[in-house]
Amino acid sequence: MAIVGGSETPRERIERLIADGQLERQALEQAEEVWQARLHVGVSLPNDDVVHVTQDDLYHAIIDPRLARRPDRIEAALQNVFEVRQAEGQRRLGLSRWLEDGMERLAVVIIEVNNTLRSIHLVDDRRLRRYQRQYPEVLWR
Amino acid sequence: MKIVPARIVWEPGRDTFTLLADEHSRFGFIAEPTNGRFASMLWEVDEQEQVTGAVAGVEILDFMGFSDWEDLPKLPLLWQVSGSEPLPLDELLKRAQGELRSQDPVLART
Repeated sequence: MAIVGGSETPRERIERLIADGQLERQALEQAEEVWQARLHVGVSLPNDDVVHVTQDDLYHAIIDPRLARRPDRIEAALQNVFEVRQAEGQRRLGLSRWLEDGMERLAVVIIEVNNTLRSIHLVDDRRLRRYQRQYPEVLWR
Repeated sequence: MKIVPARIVWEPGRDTFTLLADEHSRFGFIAEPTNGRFASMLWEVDEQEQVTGAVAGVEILDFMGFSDWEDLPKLPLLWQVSGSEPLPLDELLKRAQGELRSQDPVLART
């Protein structure tokens, strides 16, 4: 298996980055604390959906160092969804905007049918608009 | 063409494949949808969280059934993971999918 032989799980990647000094162990521990205390129990969206972030969801999300170091952004992204659009496979795409330290943050979240967090990404305005064009059916605004 | 050393994050339980450039994913990235189903390009941000213009990688959900290869951007880059020669993005992804399918025929049927 030439291509996938060296593949990693998200947790393995994070541990490798910690071992290489590219990520702080404290960041991982804090992310896990935030998950245990707030994400795991469910985060309410403005449309009254409640998204439960599984541990696998967390580790997938914090592949992004910006979420690993700021796991509060995962909660903030869910809490500040301003628009929900239909995505493939009965999933929903949430578009989110919030202020963080005086700066606007934008994110997209992909929510599974069972209300778990399939993926989350920080985006900029141009790319958020592109997601809106990609998924034109608005379910909630 | 520029060769991009990269690593694969594979989540079989979530059928999610992420390819990340070693040097361009250190501080994070922003996502951009492609026309392919649930395939997002990831673009590098720097330490100040500013977009640099370098590609950080790609994330594909439902990877085992992905076939929208033509919808992936054609970048002048060759991606190299450990144990493989440098390949264009779509070729690397196709080969990875083929290997994973041969590893897990059950998941390959999803």
